[in-house]
Amino acid sequence: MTPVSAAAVSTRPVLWHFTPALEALWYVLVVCSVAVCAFGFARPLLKYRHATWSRPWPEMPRRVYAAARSIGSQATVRARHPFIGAAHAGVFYGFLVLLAGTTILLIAHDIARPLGLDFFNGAFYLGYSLTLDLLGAVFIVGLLMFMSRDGLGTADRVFLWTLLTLAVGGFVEEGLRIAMEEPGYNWASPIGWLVSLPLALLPIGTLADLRHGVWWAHGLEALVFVALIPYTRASHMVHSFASMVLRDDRAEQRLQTIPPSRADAETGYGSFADFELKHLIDLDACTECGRCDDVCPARAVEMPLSPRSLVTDLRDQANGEQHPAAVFSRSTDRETEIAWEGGVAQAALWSCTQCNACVEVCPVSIEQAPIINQLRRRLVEEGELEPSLQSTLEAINKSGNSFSENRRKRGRWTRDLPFEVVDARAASVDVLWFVGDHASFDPRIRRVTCDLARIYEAAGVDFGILYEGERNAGNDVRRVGEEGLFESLAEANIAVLEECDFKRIVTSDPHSLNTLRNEYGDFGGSYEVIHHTSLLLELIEEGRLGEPRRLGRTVTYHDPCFLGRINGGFDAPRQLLAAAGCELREMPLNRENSFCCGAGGGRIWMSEDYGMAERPSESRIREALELGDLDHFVVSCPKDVTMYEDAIKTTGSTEQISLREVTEILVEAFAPVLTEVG
Amino acid sequence: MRIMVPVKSVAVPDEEFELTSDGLDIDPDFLDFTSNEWDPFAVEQALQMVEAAGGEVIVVTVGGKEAEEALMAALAMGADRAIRVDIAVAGFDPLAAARHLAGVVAREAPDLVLCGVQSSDAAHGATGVALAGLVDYPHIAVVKSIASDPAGYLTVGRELEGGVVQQMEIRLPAVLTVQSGINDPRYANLRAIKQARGKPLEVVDPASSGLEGAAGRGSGPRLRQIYELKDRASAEMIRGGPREVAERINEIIAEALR
Repeated sequence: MTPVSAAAVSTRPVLWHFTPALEALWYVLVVCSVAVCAFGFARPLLKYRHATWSRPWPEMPRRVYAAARSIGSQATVRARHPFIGAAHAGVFYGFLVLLAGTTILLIAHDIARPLGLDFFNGAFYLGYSLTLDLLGAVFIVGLLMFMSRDGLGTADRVFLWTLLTLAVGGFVEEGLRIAMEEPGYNWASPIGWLVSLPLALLPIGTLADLRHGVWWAHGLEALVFVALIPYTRASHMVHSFASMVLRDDRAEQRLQTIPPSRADAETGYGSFADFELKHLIDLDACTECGRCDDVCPARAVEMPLSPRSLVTDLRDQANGEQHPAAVFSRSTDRETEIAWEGGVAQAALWSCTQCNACVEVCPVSIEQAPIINQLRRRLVEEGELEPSLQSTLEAINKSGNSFSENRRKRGRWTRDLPFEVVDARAASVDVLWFVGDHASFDPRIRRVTCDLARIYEAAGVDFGILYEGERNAGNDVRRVGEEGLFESLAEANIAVLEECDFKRIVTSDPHSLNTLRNEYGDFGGSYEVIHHTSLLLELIEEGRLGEPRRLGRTVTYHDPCFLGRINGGFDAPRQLLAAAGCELREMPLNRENSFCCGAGGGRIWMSEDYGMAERPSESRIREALELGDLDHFVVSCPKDVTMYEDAIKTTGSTEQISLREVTEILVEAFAPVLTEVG
Repeated sequence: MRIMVPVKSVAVPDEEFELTSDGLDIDPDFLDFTSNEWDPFAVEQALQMVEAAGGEVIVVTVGGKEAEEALMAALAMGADRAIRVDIAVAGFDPLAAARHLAGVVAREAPDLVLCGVQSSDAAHGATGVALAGLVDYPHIAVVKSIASDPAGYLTVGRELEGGVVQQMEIRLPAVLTVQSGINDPRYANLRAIKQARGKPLEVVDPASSGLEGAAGRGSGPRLRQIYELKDRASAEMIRGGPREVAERINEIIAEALR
């Protein structure tokens, strides 16, 4: 080959000054690299191939498109983390364009050119060169932003340095070429041109040697990188994409039923053979970014749960040895039992409140909370649960409520009212009120329940309750992992509901709301279910309660996990507070970022605290007190009334702040109307 | 090892209840039935011993259909099979129950019988001990720990008042009555409860089965009357916030001093 000088046609030489032998060697190496890479990605398929699969194939194009869109927009990475979002966007777009550039070059040189199509020149080449130069710069900036962060692990550093040296190597090679050839269109290679300026001072012989040396160094590094993609951090490019393609949009709202094929098997996950495909892929998809740890309420109060460690621990177990070496081990034995001792700790599983903050925040759609639920199911199956939780579940099975009260006493709160509450089993009603355990039996919350009944009565709502026909809705029983008991509760409630005539269900309990709305459908009960805050807002907007007094209080509001983050009910409670003339000051953790009170996932029934430093509810009260002078800490969930009233006492804050359920605020605001109903 | 565990469905009266017209019992309409508080400990102990040594756990009860509740709970925990001696025995007559159980022991010849110390409704604490006497097995009552010895012996611990522990040795076959807290009874999940319905449950008619029952023969004492304590409502629950509670306490003190 002859040296190419500043030719009339703008292009650049590919495989400059290669002998045929070198060129052959290069292609052999390329094939080896791609083969090692392909093997690495194919290997987990052995692990995946028998897993249960619940995504219909016809959905796949839509799923791939949705995942590609999400990744293209980088929205999940950017959410709540603008700096990391920008850094990742730089690396992502940079990498994508550089990869595309290399692919185009491959096509141009090895496919199009042999066919006589030489398009790698002229305007196309100039545009190509400029694009790659600019995105290469963006790529480097993104990498440097990542590297400026604290807390990087070794694997992160190796990954970042590999990418950085690849990018810099490419620019140095470009600079050497420009220094030697002075091609005359520096505007199309701005970075390469800048690099070439100092290099141009070197003698031409040195430049030529360097050009060969750097080319091979760069080329070999690229091949090693490609070969190792499946075995390093870089694997997330594929695995995380897969987990996003298989994303379950309702993962936070409803847990999986036991598939008929596994009806006779033990429930839950005891070995990796039990995992559904999505959850196996989730384990490989984790980038260890740690956002789940940052938002985990259990972790925040120093309980022994780290959602990230749980996922990586399961991944290491599923893959046998540590990740990179795993390729050489026979670790695709799917019957591997999950190791509890020294592996996933039962204490970690029982620390979880199933608040789903981890699922919400995960940029790659990993389902930490549902995985924890499946692991709990097996513990329940094997009877491995603490005594207080055990006795509560037994009480729920026996009496239908978590208070171990006689089921006939469920409607007894209505005796505190000056009017009869309709039995919805005996008469048709417009609104069927599913009261829930806490609102029915807890003496403090019964006062709120009565307030709510008085408001409904005053507004002329045609409502009724199920009296002893109602049972615990089962949301938290299910989240504990007692799937069998949940099924029996759901079936019993549905059997009663099917006999009633009503238009929609209202409940003041976000937990009941979630399971009635999102999970009963799988058992044949589909209902329109609304939260009492929505109904109250409706009544006010329709003018059925008259004009409220403006209370002029300053309050903060806590979003319950199962109303807010999981069911999107952010606005109605806030609008009610505004209607009552309360000034709302938001806590830093609000709406979907709200912080669990600590009662969810059955934690309210457990006495073991696993060494928590303080209760999540206490941390939340401190967060509220930081806002300055407040009259009330307002909640809209019966469990929150108990949790936060306790927390206000235990943090010694009774002088600074008092608790109100939204209903109680409205009772004050609409006092004149309510006096008419007593 | 074959272990037999006699269990009982005990009656739990509602907060408000009525007596039957003869004044000898609580009106069944106001009763709920549940497993006797001590029985899960006996069942758990039997399961653990069989899991370690092999064998089977048979749960037995004496009574009508409602007595099966306790059998189902034990089967759900993991007992292998159940026997119900189909005869109504008055709750106050532990000796009659023991005679029916003795018939089952004679037929099944268990290596060990584990009973709860007492029943939480009638509280005689007599059935297990009487059974031992009827079948001529050695017995130890109110057992707090059990360890297997080789060659057909058990080492048994009993907790006495003042923190004294008595360690005893007993030869099998034997009857032990088990104190609560001897172990942590396992959770029987709903699936296990459903699956328990498929396990063998034999209903035995004491008249026709040839079991050495004892129809007509009771313990000796006769029940004359049961009645409700009249002054049981003397406690006042003070409700409300700290302020209301304090005010009410002040009122009570003021009344007392008046």
